[in-house]
Amino acid sequence: MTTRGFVKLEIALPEVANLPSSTHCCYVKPHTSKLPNQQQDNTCSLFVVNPLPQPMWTLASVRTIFRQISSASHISNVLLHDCIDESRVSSIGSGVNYDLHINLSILSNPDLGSPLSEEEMLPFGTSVVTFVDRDGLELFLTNLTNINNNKSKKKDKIITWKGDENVSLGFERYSKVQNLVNRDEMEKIVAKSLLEFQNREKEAEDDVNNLKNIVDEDGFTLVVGPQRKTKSEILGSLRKKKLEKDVITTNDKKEKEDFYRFQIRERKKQEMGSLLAKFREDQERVKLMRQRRKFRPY
Amino acid sequence: MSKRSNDEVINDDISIDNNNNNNNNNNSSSSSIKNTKPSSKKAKISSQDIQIAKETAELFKSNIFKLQIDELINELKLKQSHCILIEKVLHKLNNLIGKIPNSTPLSLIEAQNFFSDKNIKIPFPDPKPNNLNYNLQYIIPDDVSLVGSFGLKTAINSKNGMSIDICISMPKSLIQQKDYLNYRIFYKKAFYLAYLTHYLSILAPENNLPIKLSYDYHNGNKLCPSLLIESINDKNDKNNLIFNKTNFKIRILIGLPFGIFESKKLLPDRNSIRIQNSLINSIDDLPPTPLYNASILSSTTYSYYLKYLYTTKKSTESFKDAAALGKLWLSQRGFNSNINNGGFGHFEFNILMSALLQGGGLNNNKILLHGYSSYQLFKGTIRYLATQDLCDDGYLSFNSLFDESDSNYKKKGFNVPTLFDKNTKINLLWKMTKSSYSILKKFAIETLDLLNDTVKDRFNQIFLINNNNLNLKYDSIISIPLNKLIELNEDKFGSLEKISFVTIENYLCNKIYKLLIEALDDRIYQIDIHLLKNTQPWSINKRKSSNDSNKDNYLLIGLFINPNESDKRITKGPLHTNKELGEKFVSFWGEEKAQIRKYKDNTVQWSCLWDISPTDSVVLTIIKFILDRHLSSSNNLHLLSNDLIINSSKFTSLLPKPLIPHSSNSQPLILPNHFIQLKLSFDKISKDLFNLNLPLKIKSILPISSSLRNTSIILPVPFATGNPDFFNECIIQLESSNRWPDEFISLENTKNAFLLKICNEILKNSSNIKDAFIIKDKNSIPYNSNILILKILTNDGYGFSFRILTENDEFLYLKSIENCSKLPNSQTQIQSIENSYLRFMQKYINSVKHHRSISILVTHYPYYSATVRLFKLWLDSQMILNHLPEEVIELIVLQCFIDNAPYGIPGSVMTGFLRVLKFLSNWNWIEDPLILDLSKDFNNGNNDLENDNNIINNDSYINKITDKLDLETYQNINKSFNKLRENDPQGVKVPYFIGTKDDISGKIWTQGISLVIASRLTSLSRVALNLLTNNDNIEINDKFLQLIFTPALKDYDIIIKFDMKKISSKKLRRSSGIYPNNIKFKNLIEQINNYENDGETVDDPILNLYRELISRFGEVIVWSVRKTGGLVDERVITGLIVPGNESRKFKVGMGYPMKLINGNDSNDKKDQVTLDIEDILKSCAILGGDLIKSIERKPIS
Repeated sequence: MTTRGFVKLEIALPEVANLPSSTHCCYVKPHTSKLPNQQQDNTCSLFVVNPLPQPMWTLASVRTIFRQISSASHISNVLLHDCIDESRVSSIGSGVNYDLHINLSILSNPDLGSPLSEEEMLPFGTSVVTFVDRDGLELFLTNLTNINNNKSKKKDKIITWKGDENVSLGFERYSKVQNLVNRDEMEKIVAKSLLEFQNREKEAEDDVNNLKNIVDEDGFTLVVGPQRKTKSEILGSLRKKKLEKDVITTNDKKEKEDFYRFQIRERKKQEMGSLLAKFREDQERVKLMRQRRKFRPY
Repeated sequence: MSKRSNDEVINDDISIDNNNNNNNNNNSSSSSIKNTKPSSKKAKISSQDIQIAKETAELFKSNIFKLQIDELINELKLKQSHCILIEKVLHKLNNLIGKIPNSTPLSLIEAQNFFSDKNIKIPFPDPKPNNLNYNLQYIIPDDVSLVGSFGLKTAINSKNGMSIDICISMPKSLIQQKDYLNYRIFYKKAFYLAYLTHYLSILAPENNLPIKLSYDYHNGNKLCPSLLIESINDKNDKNNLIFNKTNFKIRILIGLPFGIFESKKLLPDRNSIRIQNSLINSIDDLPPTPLYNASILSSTTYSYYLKYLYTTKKSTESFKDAAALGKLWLSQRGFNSNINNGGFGHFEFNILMSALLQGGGLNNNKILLHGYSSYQLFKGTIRYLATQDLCDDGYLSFNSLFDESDSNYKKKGFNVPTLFDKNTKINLLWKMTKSSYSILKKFAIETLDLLNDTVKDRFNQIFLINNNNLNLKYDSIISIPLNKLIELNEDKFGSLEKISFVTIENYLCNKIYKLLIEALDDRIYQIDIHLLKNTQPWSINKRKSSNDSNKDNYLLIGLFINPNESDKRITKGPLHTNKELGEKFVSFWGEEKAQIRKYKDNTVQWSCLWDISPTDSVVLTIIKFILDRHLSSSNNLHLLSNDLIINSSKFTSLLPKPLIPHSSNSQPLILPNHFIQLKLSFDKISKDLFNLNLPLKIKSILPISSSLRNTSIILPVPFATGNPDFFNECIIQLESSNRWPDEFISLENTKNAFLLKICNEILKNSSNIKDAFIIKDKNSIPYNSNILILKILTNDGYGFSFRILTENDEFLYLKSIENCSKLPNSQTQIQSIENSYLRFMQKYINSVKHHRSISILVTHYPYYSATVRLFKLWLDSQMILNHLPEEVIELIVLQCFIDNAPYGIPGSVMTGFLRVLKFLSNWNWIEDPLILDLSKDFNNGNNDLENDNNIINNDSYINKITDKLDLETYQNINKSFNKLRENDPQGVKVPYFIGTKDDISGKIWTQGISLVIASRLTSLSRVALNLLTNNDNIEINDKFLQLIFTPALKDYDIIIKFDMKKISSKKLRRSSGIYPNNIKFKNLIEQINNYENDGETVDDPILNLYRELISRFGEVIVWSVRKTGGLVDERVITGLIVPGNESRKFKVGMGYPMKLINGNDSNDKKDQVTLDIEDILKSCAILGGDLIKSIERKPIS
């Protein structure tokens, strides 16, 4: 046990360039969630905090690492929510807040938006490694605790990261145009996504149409215009109308404002007052400027 | 006129008010008034305040301006204690002068003998007299009086102290009527001065006044030596009167009695030095001697003009303050009464102001009125200088006798700056040259514009900013070593030249001015010619200042370039048929240069054709040519151009040269052909896109790329895929439709479907396309990872990238913000989405507006493009460029062009660059908003000149169509600045505020810029500016300049070095389209004629790695890299560790690699984690793999 139920997993990184070999620390514990198959007593997944960055943390490379701890534990899947903010162009600072999970799709349209993927739902900088079975997970944890507790064992059992043959790094990785899209595949993805959206739209429309048919307690039915497509749109429009009503107040007085003497006097007074206020304000400003020594010509 | 009546009414009001007050006070005992008093008093005070407020708003530009002027004048006041001390000194000096015994009349030899054993020489002006047929004598002076600004009590504090002028008038009995001829009076004056000096040097120390005496030419006039008295800090005797702390010097001038000579004979067109010359037959043929004549006349009028000015000052309440403003204004622009400093100083300004108080209009109408405020007097005088030509078109003639107040502007000038006093017959501008007058006028015009500015506060630019730095002041400055110049031209300075110009320096300045004005014509606006150093005071044991002082002195040619004309390659002369002018043209330019050319319109003209040099602008080429032709040694053995020092060319040559065959390796700085070619290609591809058959038509294609607005560092060379700006970003707007989905992913995907369709169609249909592909845009907008970009390579060798904008995009961002705000605890979430919205606005909306503004302004300011490019290059060399959006940089550079006061629009890359540095090193981003008027309306300034006194009619047609920044917008921008700084007083979130009409919020481009970077930029600018504008270094050394463009790597915590075998810098340089450096055989340079890369690989992998490092570790380490890798031999990526992550409590989702802090398990350390730098560096090394040679970390000190 290291901290708050996490177990430390030390991974040795080989020497590269002029840097000597070093150790990367992950912190692991069984992964639990609201899903029925991910409860404390039946989960097969391991929650990893501070995993290695994505190209170094692939299914293959995680397998080689984990096999070194427990050769009998088989891994079926690795999810990773990498600590990466690709919108952080250095010129304008960061864009992604690592403390939040923001879904613009849902926010832009609560009815038709699509949820975040399972991977995206993980906290930033964490990974979930799923074993084939519960035993694999338990065995892995036991072995890891043993290694950690037994200092002599720890010395000769160094767990090393070995990389993934299928992942290219260095020149090969960076001399490629990044994020190049295969057009045929993309066409399919786009088409599929649009189709799904249409279906959702259809569903929502059906929902609305259903509303029409519901007779409420007082015996009324909802009237829906032909343009209305979703429930919240209807509710939203009601809200908006109410707002507009509040704003529009009858302010169309057609009184003359410079008819009576008192009106003119009042206006002059106001003008004088504002003139004076501005004067005072300017005095303050100049005072401030003097304090900042703004009047030194040399 | 209406102003005047207003003033008087107001003044009357005040006086009545005061009376009432007095009455109240007097009657305060009476009980009836007492009752009402409290309320009335309160009312009185406020009404008085209102009065002041109202008055200042009318008499001054605005309240704040008056208050600022008041403060400034306070600041300029002489210290009372200093004045009391110096008055004591002056009294003592006066006593001492009274004690000097008379001399007997002495012949020249006797006079010289008198001083032979006294270590004092008579400061005879050149030519030194050999034998005189008259006597020299000292008799106690008629009059000793205080003159100059101290005498007038208008003196102000100045930077280098001031001199207090005393005029000692030679008695009439010593002067004969004919003494004005042939230097006689000057010899007499010189003896008089030497005799006085001798006795002062004895009497002063004896009387507890320890002083140092030296001779000094008064106002640099070599005919008029004066005596300069400085205090010696000798405390041996406690009674000693020491005044060195005051920083005052006392100058003794030898004056002549007023009216001693018949002034008609000393008119500027008269000759008073009769010489024998083979070319001259009679006295009437001798050239006039205006300098000589004016020197005599002005020595008769020292006290006279003091009285004149004093009387004016008495009758005009604000004269004194206006005089102070005038003096400060002049000195900030390098003007004073010294011949070498323009010859227009405090005295001349005051005389002009007095003359304008007497009249000055065409019909003797008064330009200034006695009731004017200091601001009105100052502005009126400036306006007069700006709008009336006192040189060629006309002149101002006035009469210093008050009873004859006729002061008229008269048509037809004398071709010299003229302000003529009919009474004394002096042209008071006699010390000015045409050159200095043109400069004065230029400054007056610019200042008038500032004074007329109703939107911004221009006080700083008018009075506080000093514009005397040579490299900042002129567009280009050419320094000629004075010794060399004199050596080569001594033979041309004959006796006739001597009498009209007095000194060879004056002669050369005049000659060069004339030559250059003729040679350059409208390529330049003004030329300022003067010597670097004024003649210094010299020891009283020498007759004149030694020629050694010429050794490190230079003749400076300061140019104000007209960028619209300056780079034209042909100088056109007279028509071929005009024989007389043709001959003149040939003799001016030389037979080899002057050619006859036929033009398209069938005219045949004498012309000169100029080569384009890679470094020198055409103007400089012409100057070199003409100086060589006319001012080199007569046998042409030594060319003057070899000795010229020209700094501006060095800056130009820093810009990367494009890779093109050597035969055409010179590109004009202004609008190089590359930008034009790129634009043509853009037009072509746009046409192809418009023609596509799509479900929705393309409405517009909006470019947002820096290369398409001429501001990219590297010129766009075809097929140069290694140029980081190779792909020119554009935005496609489709026809409007109501069928865009109301949800982000689907909207993006619908857009993507269009993009894919466009890609397929264009590949099929356009013959212009080499290749097209699509990439995912993950970095433009946070949380929106579904954006695609279409990239196109055209057959003519250019790259474009397109993204789609619909009318639904912005709506969805706003809707998301609205929906989010309904959620509980959504504050931080809203901030993030607002950030996404901001980034969307940047990329899709504001970038378009920005591009539009800049691409118009870039044509209006010809040197803007090259300046931005050089400035970006400098930022890149300092590894800052990547940290600032290019739009911010473009706006900052633009500041120096559209908000150029007091310098003017930069007319060369050097001045542009230096003024940007100047701006950055002085600007306080925390306290001041930068507000830029991106108006494309350039003619309005002139309108102001004409009707600036009329109340500008807000409803006028002109005002409605103008896009100038109006007061309301200005105030709104100011408001948003104040609000911003309330929330972010240190500028952590938004270090820079740049408000424009396009961006009232002022933060579109600057939100998120790192404060560390912002302050680093300021300090780097300061260092660079100090090094480059040190006035002591006439020449900016090449190595020095290199240094300024080299990064300080030792400042960084981490340095990643690369294996340069993997990434050849030579290859990258070539593929970026940059001309190779250190090339031996120029004919072996190969152009790029085709795509040398398959489209799936990039030329510069370092940039990709850099992007990955920022994305992953940018929050904890500030990474920097040079964007233009082709320009450096050794690439590095540097890192600065952001402090504050040393110890945090453990939590899930930290956002950076960390490890538990080991060691003692005491409770307070438990669960604490630290940023694992070592692990980050290791990850970098693994990711970078074979690219990386080493990663070095600065040892922690």
